[in-house]
Amino acid sequence: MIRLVQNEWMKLFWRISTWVMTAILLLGVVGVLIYSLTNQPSADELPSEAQWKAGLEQQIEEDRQALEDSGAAADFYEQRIAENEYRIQNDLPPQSATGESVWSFMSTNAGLLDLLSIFVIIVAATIISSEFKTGTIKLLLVRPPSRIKILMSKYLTVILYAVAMLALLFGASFVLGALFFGFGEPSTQLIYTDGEVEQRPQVLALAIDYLTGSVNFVMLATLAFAISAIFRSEAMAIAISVLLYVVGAGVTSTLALAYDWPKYLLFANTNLNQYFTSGGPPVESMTLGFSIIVLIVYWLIFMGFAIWMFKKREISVTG
Amino acid sequence: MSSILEVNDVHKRIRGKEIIQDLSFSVEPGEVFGFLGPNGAGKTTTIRMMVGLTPISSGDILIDGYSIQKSYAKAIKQVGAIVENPEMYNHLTAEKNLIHFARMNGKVDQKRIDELLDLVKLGHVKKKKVRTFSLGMKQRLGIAQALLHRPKLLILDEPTNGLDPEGIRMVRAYLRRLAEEEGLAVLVSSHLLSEMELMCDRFAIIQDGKLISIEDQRVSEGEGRPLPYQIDVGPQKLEAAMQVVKEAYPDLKIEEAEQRLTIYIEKENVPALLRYVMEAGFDIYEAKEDKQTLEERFLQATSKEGSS
Repeated sequence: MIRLVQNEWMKLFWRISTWVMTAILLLGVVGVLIYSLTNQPSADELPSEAQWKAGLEQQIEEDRQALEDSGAAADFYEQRIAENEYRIQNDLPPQSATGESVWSFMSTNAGLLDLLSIFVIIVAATIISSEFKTGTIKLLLVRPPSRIKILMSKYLTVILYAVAMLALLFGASFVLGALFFGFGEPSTQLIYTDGEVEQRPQVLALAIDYLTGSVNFVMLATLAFAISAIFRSEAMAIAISVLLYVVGAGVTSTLALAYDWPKYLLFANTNLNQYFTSGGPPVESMTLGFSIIVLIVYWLIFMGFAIWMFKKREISVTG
Repeated sequence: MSSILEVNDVHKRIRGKEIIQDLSFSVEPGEVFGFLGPNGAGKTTTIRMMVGLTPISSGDILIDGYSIQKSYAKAIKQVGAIVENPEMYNHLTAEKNLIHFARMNGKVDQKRIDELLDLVKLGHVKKKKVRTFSLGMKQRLGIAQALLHRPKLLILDEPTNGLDPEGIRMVRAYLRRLAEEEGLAVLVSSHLLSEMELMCDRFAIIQDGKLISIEDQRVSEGEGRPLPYQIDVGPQKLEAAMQVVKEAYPDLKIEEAEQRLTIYIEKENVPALLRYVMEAGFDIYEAKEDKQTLEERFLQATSKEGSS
């Protein structure tokens, strides 16, 4: 099995496209770095404690005014007011008053997880279908290892690739952030639920961002992998998965406004971050445990289909 | 010695249509066995069944005594194969391709890989990507990957397809050498009769999924069976010569075709016959075995089905 994964790894990293994707991801980190550097206020421009507190108070006033005037977006204003009051009471300066640190830089880079997800989807979608496209699948399957083993070695390789890219993103962000911004004073993330404000250290918030982001793309990669095993078409596997990735969450949350059943949809559950941040899940009755069970069921369905189709399929290559 | 490959009453149905019907034959160690038939006769389908890429509808295929259906891993261990085209990983080097397949087969070391690269004369380009290879080079690399794990049975689907005459000669020489020196059983398919005759010890002719006949070339080259020999004594003396031969050999089948005598006689009796004809006062301009008949038989076999 290790040899099979070695093989897949070798085939993956002899592809130019793999290196191009890696390079784009690193470029993304460098892009964020340049943006942060050019927009970073110098030390003497940072507001003093009195200044930022005054700023926040002013904002609270404006928000109250807005609430009275229209009543629209009440949730948003109430949350911001509560958070700002909490900061003033507890002496927690907002991001704009602490300046950039390695932690805030890494938190910004968590946005690159979207890019990474698409790359992982591409790898998952091509790792089986490309063998069919080139006809090499026949040479691969007329060997002692069983079809299930071959399929699993490919899946493991996708996961390994995802982990490697994640480590790269995490590592590059950490090293560059530490070099350019220093460790600084970690700012604090606030979570607002049902009128209560809680604080969470940014390092923990970061870990949650990256972990829940990983769950998201592992599920999508599994979906792309299954589609690739079932239809054997690269284009279809990439198109369907990326499309779902882009519109899935939006459509699901729209449906969730009106109905209860969307909570069983994949995309209502892939973003586990919703249980750790202020927004909350799209359907109120959902819990973290519920989402994890739904995800496991989806995962089993995807893998089951992939194995079943790959096992029984007659291997014919046209053209 | 027991057969390496046994095909027993194999049927293949796809959507109710019989693609392969009642196919049975076997291949012995050390022989090159041909699988001859026009395109669409079911050659590739049969090969796919042998290597487990396509399920068998009924019957069984045994490799080294193991059923490909029931003991797939044990059966396939003894097989090296190219199905259809020799598709390798274009973005890997020749050497990496072999390393890849070696890892799938267990005990294959770097020495064996180098040995095979030299055998198929690709040692000097082993660090080059397969993308840059000619079809002939890819075909040779395909043979190398099939031989990596020292299989007992080599299955090659149309191994000379798309090769130039030099490439065809090389492939033919390899296969004969492998069979003779290493006792490998080799199964090759082709739609060209001439190729089968040059390459194979025996070959099966199939048409529309049915076995039509199995030709044994070792027998036809050797003793026993009468073969057609064409003898040219000049057009004027044809009649007279025919009379003379008929008197001396009343039991032989003698025909007249293309202004030559066609005599069905065992190979070992040919010198005596020729000597007799010459001593009777005839000049012999040419005497040869009539290879045409085999081709005719193949064409007859394959066209009979089409016209009916």
